[in-house]
Amino acid sequence: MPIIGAGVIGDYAFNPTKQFCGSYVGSQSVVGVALTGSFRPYFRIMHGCTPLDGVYHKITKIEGSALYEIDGKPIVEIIDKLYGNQDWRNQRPVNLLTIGVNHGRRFGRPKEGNYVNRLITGILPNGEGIGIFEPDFEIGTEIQFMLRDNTKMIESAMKNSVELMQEIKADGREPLFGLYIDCAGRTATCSNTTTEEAAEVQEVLKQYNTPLFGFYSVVEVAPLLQKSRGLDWTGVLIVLAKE
Amino acid sequence: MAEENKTLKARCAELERLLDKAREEAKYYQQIAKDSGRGRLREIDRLSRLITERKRTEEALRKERDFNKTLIEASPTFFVAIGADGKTLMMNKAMLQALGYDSDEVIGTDYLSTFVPERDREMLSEIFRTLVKQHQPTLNENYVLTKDGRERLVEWHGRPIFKENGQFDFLFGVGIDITERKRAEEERKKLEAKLQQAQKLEAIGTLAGGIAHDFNNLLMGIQGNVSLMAMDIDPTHPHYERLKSIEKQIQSGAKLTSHLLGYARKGRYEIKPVDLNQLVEETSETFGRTRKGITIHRDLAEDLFAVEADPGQIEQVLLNLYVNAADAMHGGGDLILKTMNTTHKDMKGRLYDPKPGNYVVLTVTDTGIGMDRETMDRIFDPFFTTKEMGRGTGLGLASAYGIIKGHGGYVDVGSKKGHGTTFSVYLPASEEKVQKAVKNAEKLIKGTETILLADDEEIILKVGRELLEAMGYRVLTVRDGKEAIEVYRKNWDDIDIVILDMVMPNMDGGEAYDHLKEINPNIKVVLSSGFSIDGEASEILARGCNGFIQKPFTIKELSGKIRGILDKE
Repeated sequence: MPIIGAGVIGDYAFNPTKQFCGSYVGSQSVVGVALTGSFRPYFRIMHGCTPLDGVYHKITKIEGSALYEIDGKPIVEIIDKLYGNQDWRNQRPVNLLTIGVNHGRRFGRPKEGNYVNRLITGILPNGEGIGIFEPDFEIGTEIQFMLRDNTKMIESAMKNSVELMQEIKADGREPLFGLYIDCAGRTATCSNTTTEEAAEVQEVLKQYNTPLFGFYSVVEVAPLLQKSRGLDWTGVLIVLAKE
Repeated sequence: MAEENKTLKARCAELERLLDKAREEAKYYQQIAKDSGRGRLREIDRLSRLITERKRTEEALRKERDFNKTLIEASPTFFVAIGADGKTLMMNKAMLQALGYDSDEVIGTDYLSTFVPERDREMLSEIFRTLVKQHQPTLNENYVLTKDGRERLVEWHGRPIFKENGQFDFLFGVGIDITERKRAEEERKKLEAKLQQAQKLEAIGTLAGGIAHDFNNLLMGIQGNVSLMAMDIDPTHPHYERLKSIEKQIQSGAKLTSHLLGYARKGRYEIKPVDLNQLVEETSETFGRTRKGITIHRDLAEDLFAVEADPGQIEQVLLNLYVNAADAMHGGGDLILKTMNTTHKDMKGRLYDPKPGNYVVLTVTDTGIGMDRETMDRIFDPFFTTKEMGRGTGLGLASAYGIIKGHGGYVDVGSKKGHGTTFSVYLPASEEKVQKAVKNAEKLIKGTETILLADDEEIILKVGRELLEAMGYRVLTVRDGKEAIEVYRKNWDDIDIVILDMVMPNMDGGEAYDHLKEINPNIKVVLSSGFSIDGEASEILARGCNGFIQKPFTIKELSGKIRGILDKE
């Protein structure tokens, strides 16, 4: 069963949040709703990140979500060399660079949907490593540096939305309703773009006369490679189509 | 076998060599990938920084624009922008609210034809042209029209805005709504004018009153001497008629001073409840006999309230109004006299604020030539006359005004050139009953009692003594109030009546009267004066003083006044 969802934060100090479900009010909880009926869900995972250079690196030192070394070298120094300066150390999260794990063919043409993308939250306070959003990597995991190219992010949003709607039409189904869970990091303010990426999705669904509901999130949840995963800097678009 | 091994080894070496070459190539392409990835990252980072910088600049610009917009929208001042084609480009909230429009109603409308009164459009259009031509800001005041057609006066600071190529772009106006301020200024000017007018009238009144007082004393001296001379000669004597003629001239002089006193509001001395209808009937009847071409119409209210007034002075007012009306109807006409009761509530919208209460109003309307605004504004000014030299003193309406004001009343005038004039006289109503008038003595009544005459004028003392002695009285004379008290204290038992001048040095008549009254509570005193200070004479009379006689008086008037008091129980 595909799970589409979102994680939110109350504030940047990560204080406890409240959740509402009917008359119940909870804290640090998950609220879910199961949808049944004569419809079929279509979805797309969009991040628009591409491998920076295609080079695979092996994690050699990691503790939870604190990543210290790759290929036996301090990751901070490697990122310094990539940028050619240390300005990125002031960024939280790091603007252009993410960590990607390819679940597709090792040397095949990179496909957006095959990558689990992890945001670099910033350099650790002791300067010895970087923080990543989820603690699901371990020593030996092969990673690639991914480039957050904002132009590609917007292109990806538009391209994936169009393809999704075309797919529904090609299947002879009628789109009923769209839900767009969009990482807050993808807004024009956070991504340093001049246009809003979510507006591209809006425009496509408008062309198909399909109502769209959406919101910004901190973590996005969507099925990827037969497993529902937490994703970063991602837009998850799901459209329910009439069977 | 050995050959085969050799071949395999060679093949392995070949493969090793190829593998080394492949590794070398992989390293080479890995380096290229690293370099290109690094290049992409750095290029995008650089672009990102540029975008950040641009966004920061845009944000600063937006903030500045928002700030300016907030200032303009929050300002109580009017802001308007008018395009080169005369269309309204922008109008701020303050102006929209003042004019009663919504923003979408004004944008794109022709400014002049929508917001400027028709009469001002050409003038304003010229101002716009000059503004653009001279490339300079300008300051002007003009009216703007509200949505419901009202006008508001605005002080504008206009500035032409030009494009970089020097071409005129639009006109920018910043305005302050000065409608209320102007209204207040005009109100203040009116009040100042009224105050100045009141001060002017007060000053002239004081001067006129002083002149009249001194003049009456002079006339008193002449009148006294004439009376004495007339008593001594036979009526058949040729000088007797001359003396009578002098007396007439003195009466004319006294009439002139009574006008002055009327204007100065200092001749009021016999206040009593009066029937205004009776005065109107009597005076208009007499007047009608002298002006045959005038038809008099009377519409007198039957239940008219009494008024507390000096009948002599009110008669003077009425006659002045009749004469004024008749003089405005050269070829004859109608004089309409109307009386009615009214209240202060019906007297709204006047220049004055009437005191609350009931009033009696008399309107005197003529069908004459009427007056223009300028004449009406000055009609009550003393010495202002429209009559030819020698026909009017310019004191008639001024004295009427002064007398009515002295009675706590009001006078209005309404007129239009060629359409006649109406004077409205308002007098406070009285709840007292009307008193019948008592005629003064017409003949000389003599006596033998002792009279103390107090006056600071040498001629009055001399003539007065002779007049009184001629009537048979014994006379003591003193020059001021203090002397009067001393003499009375010594001789009060012998003195039957005191004739006390109102205005004297050292101690005036009022104060002297109080001391005399202390000496003898039953003392009989006649006040005498060239004028009676408004209120003071009445106050002394109210304190028990027996009577008042105004200079100049004839010997008969004096004898009548003295006997009237002495013979009264």
